[in-house]
Amino acid sequence: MDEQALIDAARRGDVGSFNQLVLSYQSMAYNVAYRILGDRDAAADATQEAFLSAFQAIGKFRGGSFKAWVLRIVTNACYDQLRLKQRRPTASLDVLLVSEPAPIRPLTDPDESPEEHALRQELSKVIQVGIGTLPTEQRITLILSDIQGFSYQEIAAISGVSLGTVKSRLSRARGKLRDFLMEQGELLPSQYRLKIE
Amino acid sequence: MFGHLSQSEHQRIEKMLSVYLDGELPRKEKTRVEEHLAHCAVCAQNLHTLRQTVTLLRELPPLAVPRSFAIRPAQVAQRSGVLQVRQTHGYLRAATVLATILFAVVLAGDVFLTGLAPYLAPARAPEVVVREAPVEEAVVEKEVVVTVEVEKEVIVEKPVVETVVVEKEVVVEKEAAYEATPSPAPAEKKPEMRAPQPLATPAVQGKESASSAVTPATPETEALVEAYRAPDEERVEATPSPAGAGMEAKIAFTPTAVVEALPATPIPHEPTARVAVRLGKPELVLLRVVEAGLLLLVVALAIATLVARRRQSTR
Repeated sequence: MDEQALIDAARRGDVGSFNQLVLSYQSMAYNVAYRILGDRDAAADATQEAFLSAFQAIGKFRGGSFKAWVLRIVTNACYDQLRLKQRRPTASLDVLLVSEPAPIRPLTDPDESPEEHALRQELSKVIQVGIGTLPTEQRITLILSDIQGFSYQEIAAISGVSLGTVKSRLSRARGKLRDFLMEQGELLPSQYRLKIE
Repeated sequence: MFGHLSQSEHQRIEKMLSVYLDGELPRKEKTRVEEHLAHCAVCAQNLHTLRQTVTLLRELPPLAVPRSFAIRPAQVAQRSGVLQVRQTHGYLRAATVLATILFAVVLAGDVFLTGLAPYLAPARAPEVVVREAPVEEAVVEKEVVVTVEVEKEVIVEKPVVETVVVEKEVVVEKEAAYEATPSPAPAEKKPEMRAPQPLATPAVQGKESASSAVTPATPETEALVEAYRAPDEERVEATPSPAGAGMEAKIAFTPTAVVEALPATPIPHEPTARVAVRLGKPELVLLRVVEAGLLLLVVALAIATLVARRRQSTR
């Protein structure tokens, strides 16, 4: 069944059809949520909440990119999680950002050696900390562009901002993350350090 | 450092590097950036490290989902309940705010009306205007004219007038009158004596010409006269109460008093003093009942809001 047929069935209240759409997009949604929130549990909560919201609001979906529509709901759910965290802080935000993130379970690459896998894990942690230092809007733009590979137009549609704003946010986010990674220097695995030509 | 390049040009190129990296710059700007990069080592270095950063991000491995996020009908139903509670909480909160505002307004009105009571002397007239009589009317001494709206009980004992029973007590603040309306010199005052209106009863008109117009028929009238037996320059005027309607009567207090029936139209350009209206007992009781009801409503809504909030947070 193609995507549009599944969407139509979901509009009629068919949970099974909607769940097929969920299976298609849950990995992307969870990864985006994790990179925005930097916390696995919060990312899982935001993802689940986003799909529930999407099912209840699917009647309002007016066509276009369903993926972009779902991601918009996911980013909104992440904003809610961040607000919740601010209202009920279990620890200060700074502590969360500089503390070591929870172990990440990346999808395993069969060609990757255990050593490479460990290095990649280490790099992933440092980058996640760096992403966490960015303002939320810049963080989301960077994640959608450089991790998820969305175009400027798609990011503008997901974020509900202009193309110029996307470019500006992305430029600032990249510059800040670059500066952060250069400051880390020795913390990064040698082959991943930013090298000056 | 930047050779012949200006600082602003350098910063402008710096901002374009990210878009240049994505190949999204228009041809003209792309050429400009490339020309700049050809002889600016700093920007070339920045572009290099920026590219490295983007490469690192793109190589981040995706995370495995910890579980399936497929939804269950029970979750949908539960979420609908949560949304309903959230909506109810919102409505209740708005209603509480509205009820509180209403209660505050009523309470403020009550305090405003009843709080002035100690300063007021009771008079059974919804509107009282005291002013000096025109010079022409004053025979020997200056007169103070009191205009009473629809206060027939005080001045006239006509049956037609008695049907209009006014429960309001109006008190004229003499001191306020001194402060609020400095009276001009008596000689400069506009002659304001009006001709008797058709509504005036013969009895009223008869009293107009009488030297002792305020008859001792009613003790209230005497009290009123005594109350307004003011200094020569005194000028007091009261504005009508909400219930005030009909006609008003003028009373001149001096050794001789003049009573005149007047329409309820305000006297143009006549300086006025403050008015204080004290509610009658039934109205006061009604006001208190309304206040108590509103207070109960506010408390009930606040409790309901708190309960809804607690239910919302526990879900």
